[in-house]
Amino acid sequence: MEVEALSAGSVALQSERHGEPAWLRAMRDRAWATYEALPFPDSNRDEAWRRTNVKRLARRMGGLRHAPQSSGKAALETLPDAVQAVLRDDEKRGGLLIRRDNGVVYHELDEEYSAQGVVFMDLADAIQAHPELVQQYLFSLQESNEGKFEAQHAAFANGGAFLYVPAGVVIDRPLQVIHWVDGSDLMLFPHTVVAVGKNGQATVMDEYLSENETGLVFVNSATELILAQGAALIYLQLQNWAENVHHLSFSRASTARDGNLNWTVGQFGGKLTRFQTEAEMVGQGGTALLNGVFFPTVGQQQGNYTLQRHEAPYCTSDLLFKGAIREEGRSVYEGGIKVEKGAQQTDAYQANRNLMLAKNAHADSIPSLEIEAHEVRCTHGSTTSQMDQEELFYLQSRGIPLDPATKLVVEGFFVPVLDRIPLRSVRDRLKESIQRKMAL
Amino acid sequence: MTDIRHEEFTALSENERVALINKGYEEKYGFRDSDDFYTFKSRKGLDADVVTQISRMKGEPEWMLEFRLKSLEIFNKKPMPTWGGGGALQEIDFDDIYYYMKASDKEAKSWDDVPEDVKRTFDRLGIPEAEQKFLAGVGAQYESEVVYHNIKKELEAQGVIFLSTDHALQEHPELFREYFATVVPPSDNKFAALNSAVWSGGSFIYVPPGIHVEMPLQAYFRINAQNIGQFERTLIIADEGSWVHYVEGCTAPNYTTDSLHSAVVEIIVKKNARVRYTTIQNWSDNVYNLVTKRTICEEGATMEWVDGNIGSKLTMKYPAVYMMGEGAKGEILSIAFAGKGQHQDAGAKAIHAAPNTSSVITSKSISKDGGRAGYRGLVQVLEGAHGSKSNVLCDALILDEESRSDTYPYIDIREDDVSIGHEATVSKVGEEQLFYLMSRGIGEEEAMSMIVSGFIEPIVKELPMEYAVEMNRLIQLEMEGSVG
Repeated sequence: MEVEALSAGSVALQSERHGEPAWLRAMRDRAWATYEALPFPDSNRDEAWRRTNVKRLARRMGGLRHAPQSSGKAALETLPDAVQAVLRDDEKRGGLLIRRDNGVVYHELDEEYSAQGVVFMDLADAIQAHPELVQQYLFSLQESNEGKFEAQHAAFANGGAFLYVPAGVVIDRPLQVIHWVDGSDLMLFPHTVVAVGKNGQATVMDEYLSENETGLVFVNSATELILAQGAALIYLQLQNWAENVHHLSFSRASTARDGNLNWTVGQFGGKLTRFQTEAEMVGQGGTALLNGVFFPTVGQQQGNYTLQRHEAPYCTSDLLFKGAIREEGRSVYEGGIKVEKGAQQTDAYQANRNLMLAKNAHADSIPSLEIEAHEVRCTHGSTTSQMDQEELFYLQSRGIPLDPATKLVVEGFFVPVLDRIPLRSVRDRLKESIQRKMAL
Repeated sequence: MTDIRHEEFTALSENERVALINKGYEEKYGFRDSDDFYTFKSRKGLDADVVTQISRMKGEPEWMLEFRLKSLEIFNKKPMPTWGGGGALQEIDFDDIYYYMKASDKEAKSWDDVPEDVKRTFDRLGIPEAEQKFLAGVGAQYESEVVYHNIKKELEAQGVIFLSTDHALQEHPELFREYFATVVPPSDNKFAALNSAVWSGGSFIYVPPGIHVEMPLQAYFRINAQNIGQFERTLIIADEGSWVHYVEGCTAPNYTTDSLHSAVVEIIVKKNARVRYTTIQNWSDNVYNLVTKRTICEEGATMEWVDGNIGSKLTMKYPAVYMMGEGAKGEILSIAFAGKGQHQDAGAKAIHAAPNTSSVITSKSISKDGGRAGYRGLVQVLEGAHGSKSNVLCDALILDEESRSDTYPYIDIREDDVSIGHEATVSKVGEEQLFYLMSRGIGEEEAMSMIVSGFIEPIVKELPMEYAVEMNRLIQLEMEGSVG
């Protein structure tokens, strides 16, 4: 019997099919109840969704199926060019997980790391292989009752990436995760968990790609990054979706004492995307560097919602989100710094810079500060302007034609974000995405 | 009054409350007014009957009554905003407010005719001296009616109209109707609807083309009896190429249970005209101050808002400039000081709806003793408003660990050929500044006070002299006992 994709029956069916432990099933049932109880966010009423109209999306959701469990592993060479093009070279890679729709088509982790107790695999597999480890971290930062879509995600979160780095282990080569979707009229609920133990280190590149299909694809994802005392993580979240994808992403990180997070969000594709990027500084002396690049064009709305929450004293957070908006593109940057009572000696900075490349581009910028401690230094800035005509003139006066000159200026605009990423391979991946978007 | 909790207070009978409030009042302020002073008082609460009664009392034309009743419907329909003041707004009891009180029957023509009680209050506020110095005209609002109006003869000769809004409706009905509620329609927000239903008093100014009013026009407002909402309505029209500066000051003695002030100010600045509107608001710290202030600027026109918010329990006020004509300019200077139990949700709005328009917003906020001060603003550049420039600068000082500062700028840009900037900083008083002053033998409290005065100086220097003095004095008073 066919079970409706968004139903209690579907929650039960999926959970049973994967043989999930009781605690997870109970959590899903609670999430489903929350999902049913809440209305969809209303852009006329809910401030957080005021600039993301999900009415049409909500209406069309009933016609979507859960993405299929893709069958079997494949050799790397047989994967499509789009996927191959983004792979790092073998020797520069510490591990690779390629997901197609709702399953895994390729998976590797360097023995050097697995021998040290590193766990890196699809989340559904990790639930089976390491249930206790997963229980410790899964939904430890995200609550299923925070909102309609968060609850929907928790009810159906199925697969994704799970990385556990034991205390003291250093992963010096990036781990790459690719979420590749090639169907249409689909819904996906991927979930990434990265837990780095005490003084551990890791670099993760989490990428979203898809084939250009005509039907709707809806992605409702969540990411949890948990940094223990003294842990360091470089994390890149990169979406190069085709233009039929709607993506709501709920991501949160927490840093314990002296944790060091370098988190980059790159948005280049999609139709309607809304990425929530939240860093919670819960231990003293933590550092978070949040970097963002967005680049919407005609028919695209890309949203970035950020939060730097300082709960502990002596933490530093520094955010720079830069966006170039092409013809009829729309961007929304909405970000807050929140300093809780007692988080003295906080040093927090937040900047959003928008470059308007066309007359009918539309950029919203809403940076905010909520400060409840007084021994602090919190600053934010926002600028929106068009291309500097003098820079263009300078390049043209040296014989560079307008078109490449424009591209150079746009590339230069993003350089300050790239410079904040300490690892070259991660920087290059972002740079490739910028160049690819400019060539379109 | 401050030693008693809200719940305990509301449990008392009305007489007990008044007795409690008035305890020590005379010692503190040196005067108080008797309660039977009002010649007319509408009953408490708000419904169509009260609104009709207000309109009938004023002898208004039928269209105004209809406008009021329609506005009341809108008010009843609109939900209470959940942002800004948030929870505190829900505590307003609209049934426990007098919507209209009339202090004396006729408007005084000269200072001698003003009733003695009113005069005594004005004396305390320093009005007569100010008038002797350089006031061009005074429209002072005592409760809900303008009782004193003095316009210099040359203004009349120039054709400048400066009346209470009620009288303008009687004396210049056509001019009034042409502009009234065109800038802030009743449907704009819940409190604009409330004001539209029960408005009373306020100033009406019309400046003919090319006329420069050299001296600031002033009105002094004061809330006095308990539970009186003041719903004044100000309408300023600066015709082409004219120039006027209006000054509004509000000082309310510490006198009431929660009181509501909900004004609407509408300003139309025609081609190449210029208007400056200065407010120093110092409501006592139980007053809700929920005000809609908005200007429409035509081609080449300039609007300047100077807005200082010191008192009140909750202020939600965002002076706005809509730049509708090419080359229009808007400037908004805002100071907010939140002390104990206060929430200043102040800010500004600049809407660029025409090419080559420019706006500058400067906000300074200070929070102290658990107060919450902030900036909430909007800069919007609409399609076609190419060449627009906007710059927003917000600085906030937090003076102790109990206090809170917020900054919520909304920036919405739909043009490429623009230059938009926003910057905000929140910090505490600099250790080095403090050290420098103290190393020169200045006490800590005085040093703190000097630093705070320096912090708001860019805005204070824009005030007329007597207001600058008052502002500095208010800040000094607020800073007293800040070092502990």
